[in-house]
Amino acid sequence: MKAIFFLISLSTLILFFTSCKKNKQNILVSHIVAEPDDMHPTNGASATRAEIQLYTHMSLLRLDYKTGNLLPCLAKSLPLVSTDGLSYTYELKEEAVWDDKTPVTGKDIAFTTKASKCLLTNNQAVKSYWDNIKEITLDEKNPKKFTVIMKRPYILNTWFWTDFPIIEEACYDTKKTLSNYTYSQLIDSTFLKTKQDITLWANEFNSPKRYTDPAFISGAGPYKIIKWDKGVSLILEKKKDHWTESCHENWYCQANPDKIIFKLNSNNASTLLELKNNLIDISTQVDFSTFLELSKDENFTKNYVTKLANTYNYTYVCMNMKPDGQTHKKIFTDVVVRRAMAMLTPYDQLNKTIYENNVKRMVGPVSPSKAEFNTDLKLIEYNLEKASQLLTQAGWADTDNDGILDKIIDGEKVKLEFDINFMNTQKQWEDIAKQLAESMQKAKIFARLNPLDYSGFVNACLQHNFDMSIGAWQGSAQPEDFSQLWSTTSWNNNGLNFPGFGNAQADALIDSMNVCVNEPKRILLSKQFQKLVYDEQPYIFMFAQMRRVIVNKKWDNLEVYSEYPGVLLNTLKLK
Amino acid sequence: MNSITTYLSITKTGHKNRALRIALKTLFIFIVIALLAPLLANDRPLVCKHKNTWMFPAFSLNNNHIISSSEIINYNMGKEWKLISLDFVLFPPCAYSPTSIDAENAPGKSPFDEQFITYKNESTHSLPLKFRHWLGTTQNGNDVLSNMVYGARIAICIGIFSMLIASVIGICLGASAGFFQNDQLKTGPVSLILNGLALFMIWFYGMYVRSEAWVNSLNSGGLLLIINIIATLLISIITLMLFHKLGKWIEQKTGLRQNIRFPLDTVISRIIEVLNSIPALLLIIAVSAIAKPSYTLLIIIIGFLSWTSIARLARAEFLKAKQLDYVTSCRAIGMSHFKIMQKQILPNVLPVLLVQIVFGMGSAVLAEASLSFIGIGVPLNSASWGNLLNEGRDHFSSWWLVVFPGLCIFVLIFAYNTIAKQLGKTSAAIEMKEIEKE
Amino acid sequence: MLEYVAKRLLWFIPTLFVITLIGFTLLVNSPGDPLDLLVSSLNSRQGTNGNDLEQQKTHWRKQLGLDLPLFYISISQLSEPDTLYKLYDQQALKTYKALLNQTGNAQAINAFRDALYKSKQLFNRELQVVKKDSAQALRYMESSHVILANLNVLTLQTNPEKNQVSIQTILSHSSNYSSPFIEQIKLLQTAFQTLKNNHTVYKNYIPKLIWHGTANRYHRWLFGSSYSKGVIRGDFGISYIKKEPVMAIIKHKIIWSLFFSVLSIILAYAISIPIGIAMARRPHSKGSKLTELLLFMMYSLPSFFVGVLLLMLFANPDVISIFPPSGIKPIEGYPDGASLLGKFLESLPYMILPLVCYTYSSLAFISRLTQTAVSQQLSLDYIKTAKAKGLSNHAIIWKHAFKNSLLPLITVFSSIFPAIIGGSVIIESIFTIPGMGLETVRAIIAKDYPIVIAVITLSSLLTMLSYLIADVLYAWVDPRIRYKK
Repeated sequence: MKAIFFLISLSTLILFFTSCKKNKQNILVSHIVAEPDDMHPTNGASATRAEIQLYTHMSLLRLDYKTGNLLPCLAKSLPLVSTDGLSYTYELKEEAVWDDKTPVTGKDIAFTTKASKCLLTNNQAVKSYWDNIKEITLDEKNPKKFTVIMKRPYILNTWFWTDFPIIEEACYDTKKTLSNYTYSQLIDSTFLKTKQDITLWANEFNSPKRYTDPAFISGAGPYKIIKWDKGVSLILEKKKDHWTESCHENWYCQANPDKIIFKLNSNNASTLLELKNNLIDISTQVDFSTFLELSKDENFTKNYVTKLANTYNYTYVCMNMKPDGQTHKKIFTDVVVRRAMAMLTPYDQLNKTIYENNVKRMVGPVSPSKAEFNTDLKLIEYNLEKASQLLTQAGWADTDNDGILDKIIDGEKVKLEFDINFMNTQKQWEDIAKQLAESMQKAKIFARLNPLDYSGFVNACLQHNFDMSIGAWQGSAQPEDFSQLWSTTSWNNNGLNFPGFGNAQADALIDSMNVCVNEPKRILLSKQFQKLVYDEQPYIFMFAQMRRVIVNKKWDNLEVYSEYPGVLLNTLKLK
Repeated sequence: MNSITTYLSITKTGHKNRALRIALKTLFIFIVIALLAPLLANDRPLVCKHKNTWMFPAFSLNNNHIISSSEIINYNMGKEWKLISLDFVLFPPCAYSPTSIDAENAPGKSPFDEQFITYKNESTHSLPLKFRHWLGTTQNGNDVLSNMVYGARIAICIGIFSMLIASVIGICLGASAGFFQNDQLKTGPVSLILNGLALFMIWFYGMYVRSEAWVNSLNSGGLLLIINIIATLLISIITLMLFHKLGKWIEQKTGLRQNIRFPLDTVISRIIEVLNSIPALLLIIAVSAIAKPSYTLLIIIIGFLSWTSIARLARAEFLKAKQLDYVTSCRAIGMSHFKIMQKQILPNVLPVLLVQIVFGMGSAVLAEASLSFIGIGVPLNSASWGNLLNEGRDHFSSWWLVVFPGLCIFVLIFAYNTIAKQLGKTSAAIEMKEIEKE
Repeated sequence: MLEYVAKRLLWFIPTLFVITLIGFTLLVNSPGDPLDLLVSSLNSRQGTNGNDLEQQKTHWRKQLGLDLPLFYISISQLSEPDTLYKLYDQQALKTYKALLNQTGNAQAINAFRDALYKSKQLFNRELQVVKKDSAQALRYMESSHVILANLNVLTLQTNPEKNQVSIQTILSHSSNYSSPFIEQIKLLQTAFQTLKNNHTVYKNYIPKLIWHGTANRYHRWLFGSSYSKGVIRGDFGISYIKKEPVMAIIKHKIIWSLFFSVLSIILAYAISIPIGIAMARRPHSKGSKLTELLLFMMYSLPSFFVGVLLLMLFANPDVISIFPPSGIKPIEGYPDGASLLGKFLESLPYMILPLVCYTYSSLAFISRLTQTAVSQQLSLDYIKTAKAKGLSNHAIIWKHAFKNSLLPLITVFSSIFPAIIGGSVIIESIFTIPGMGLETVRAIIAKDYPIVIAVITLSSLLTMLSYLIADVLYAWVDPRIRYKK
């Protein structure tokens, strides 16, 4: 027994010594809730990866987070556009070089585009983003100059470069295989079958080391990945004498912390404790309730800044407007029922219990902070009586007196009961679903909770295999392209138009908006479109999401933006 | 049955054994709470009087009460019950249902915080004592006490019903393994083949052809699943018996009486070994992630996984009892195997088995609580202690979400374990070492 | 002895087979198409590259052997077509089975499905033609929606009356479209009529046995193929989500679980053996009764409750903050060139709370075991002789009684050990220890089944193996056992 006692006291002693060490290095610890699936520059899709690549990679153009406009990054300036709006000529910065001091040239840009679009590379998720590119031609005299030819005019023809990390040809294609082929050859599947060397290159490009091994991941950004401890952390280190050291005016050139550590913690409770223990410097992803709890804690706010920031993101409850009637009953085909559902949503109660009255309601798919937001639309308020009236008007009545409304649809008695789908990863959605279900019960509607894993949830939505589904969309400062979420083709192709919204008028509006270069005119069209969505009520638009920013006060120069990721880590300075 | 009654009378009087008495009393309280949950914690009043009609909403299975054609009282009005004016009303001790939301006292009021209510005339008052959230509220504004009361129901049900399944399987298999061993179960070739055929038919017609029905009932998870299982089991047993009898009859007619020894003990021991080696919690999680989570399914899975310890004990006890005099004499007078097992041995070994069963109830409660704590394999919208703890873990300042359900789980498991341990002492028939060896 | 070991080893083979079979059954029955997870993700479906996706899926299906029958033999209904396993879409399979149950006529169902598939293709072509002319598109919009919706319904719906109605609706809306499409719909109608009128339900009740040979998924899963090495050589396939080999993930994650299990077992023994012996020496004293009660209470305390309380109390600046709340090493990682001891010391503060959680509940069990074993020894004659000889109490207990009661303790050790593969799901997720338990929870929540199955199968195998070792050990020490069995 004595030995044990001795052991315990010894270990406590050691413990005190080790925990006394204070951290005053120029190291920024940033909290992430989900690890990136991989760090491949072009073959990946996770959001965390995109955030990390802001610092490790460079793009042709970047977003100016302050103004919401485009900012030239590797490019000298914004492109020269031809009069037909189809060819864009770029010139790269003279000083832009790779890690081996070779200049960034048009060849690298061409290579990146080819690699992303080549049918053999493993990036199904993003290929369609560059669909509009027709060809890239290099300037023979000036290696820093090139022209991109697009298939059709489109409002986002320059914007897509902002999240398109440029990679080095010499590093990812040592044999320069792709330079022998043109862009259009690489997207021709029959041509590819005949060329063995492209397959060889693609196999190397798709190999696991390119996804995870820091030694094989490189970009032109001021930071590089030095260590990735899976499931624990990912560490970035500032590159020595990087070409951006001379320029400091733009955010993407800055590199203030020596190291940035992305620390994974997907558990709310232990994140809260880590923050309280000063172990994390910055977090923008904590749970809302954790944030509120921390911001009320005076001990905590002595050391930390807690701030809520606007975003373009919003939560919604989506209703299946075009169910097959077989696996899912035709409950929400009627716009009156959908409107009644919107009136049965206890917005104020949700805002109070989940967000403590810190979020604002959404009227439609466009964030109120944007110029194209339609101010004429009125918020739909919670109203049990009105909703019941609407339901009666739509023919729903409790004929069998079992406490659930019913109606004869297609000769069959259908009860007003359905599943609410939501993702099992976030408590917030579970809470919304619970409260929705409780509120529906008061109007004699029976809603079941159906938590699903990520892929199950997404597949159910894509294949229209749901009744009601809770989700959130991430928005951006870019001009709105409604085609993904609201066009009928997107429903037909099992795209992101989950509810099956759409009619001829809406489709025509979307099409004309997407090619409209005249901004005031486009805004007018956009407002019209928002009215259409409002009248059809495919979603119950819930709340504009707020970004929960928590930053340790030892870091200076904090600016919070609406755009993801909210805070640019490389611009933070140690006090 | 004689020994059981004497056994129970020992435990009942049990004047010497205070621990056992306390534990039994605790368990009894939990069971009473579980049984009376809807009357102890409910939004709906127990009795109320409105426009000269007496109503008993808490007792009613309906959702409506029709007073007149123009006025229908919706029993599911939640918090509204506390706001409308009634001539007479009597609420349950805890005036909230586990799912009902009291948004005014959300998020997370502690038991000592001031709680409020806003009446129809928009005046806000401090919450009267009869409506108070005695153990606080959750983030959503659910009453914790009410959730605890209903949680007792789930915990008790899980423990008792899963162990019911486990003990039926465990005793049947363990007893026959111990009694017949490897050399006592003899059958003729014809009945062996016919039994095999019957098993095949049960699988083919009972499971395979009806796979659609099975999937549906598995996903519905409720009564349908139980009915399906019981019906299938009954038909299977009848088929097996019929085929067995037929085999016997043919053997008698044809005189094919070569006896084949069936190595029952080895087979069952191997099954136990395999099942024991599978990590139970993980398997429960994996299986319940395949089907839609429901408590019925959880009970069945826990039952089907935890019979092994009972079977091992039963096997050892039957093995021992078989060599005793009274069994040998029963055999001598030509009693059938089944009768000896059922009427003679079982009553004598049941007390020993009970120890294991009660221990098992404790672990079943623990398994359910662990699952709901990590939030996998249990229905979400249900009041269970583990669910509360899970929420408490996310909100560290809400200590009441951790402490109360945690203590409840502890007390119930401790009660089960104490009962089991004291029963073991009382019957004095169980020695840990021997079980370990067998 | 050798004979006994050989017999046990021989029995090991069928149990191994059964365990892998259980694992495989779980894997196969996991919901969803693994290729949905492996190949595609959210956005891949919206573009024009739908065909590429199908191509990729077929490619991978072949590579991974997912286009093979499940097992060596299959028993099915006579009405089922032999290649039903090639119907990958679970929704479609469900519909197919339901139709089969109604009609028992696979041929007619196939004909109907083919006709339906062709009509869908034709209709898509129609739509593309229409789409080019936008003025026309508006005119066709309504009818095209009705037709598309009904075509979709037909693939799922099994009620004959409703199907009839759906086909009629399509026909009544198709007047605007080209004649080949209308012809195709008429073909669809006749196919449906044949299906409706030719029932061979009796075929559902006749069993059919097919031998598939070794070209089946179980065989490939177990013994490997050109693409994978198979479970038998430790290859459990690729994680659906992380797209890495399962074994690589497990290798990476298992270290901390292993470390904690071993350390906690050693700790548990180190604490509970002295307690057990002390209790055996004075079995009726108040102290030992109190200890027993305390240990028993600890045994009944759920570990998640204790874990959360420990975190709330000892890692919370509002109460006491002496331990770090999560993880297992400093955030910046170990300093460069740290020695093993240095690393251990760096990690020590992180380990204490989890270790408490890991250890406390097994104290009751081990100390009770020690107590019974030692007190049994103490009552034996040789101890009395030793006492008579004048040996000190201390020497008697530690040199004789304890030494002879070690055996049951060793066997318990072997049964605790295999838990390391699964890790402790609960403790690891409370303290966010990046071990197997946390990984398993992640895998389950994300439906990453290969990892779940690998964990279950591996830990079952290890347990079986440790049973085997324990049995052999027992037989080696105690010869009576060899002959008993």
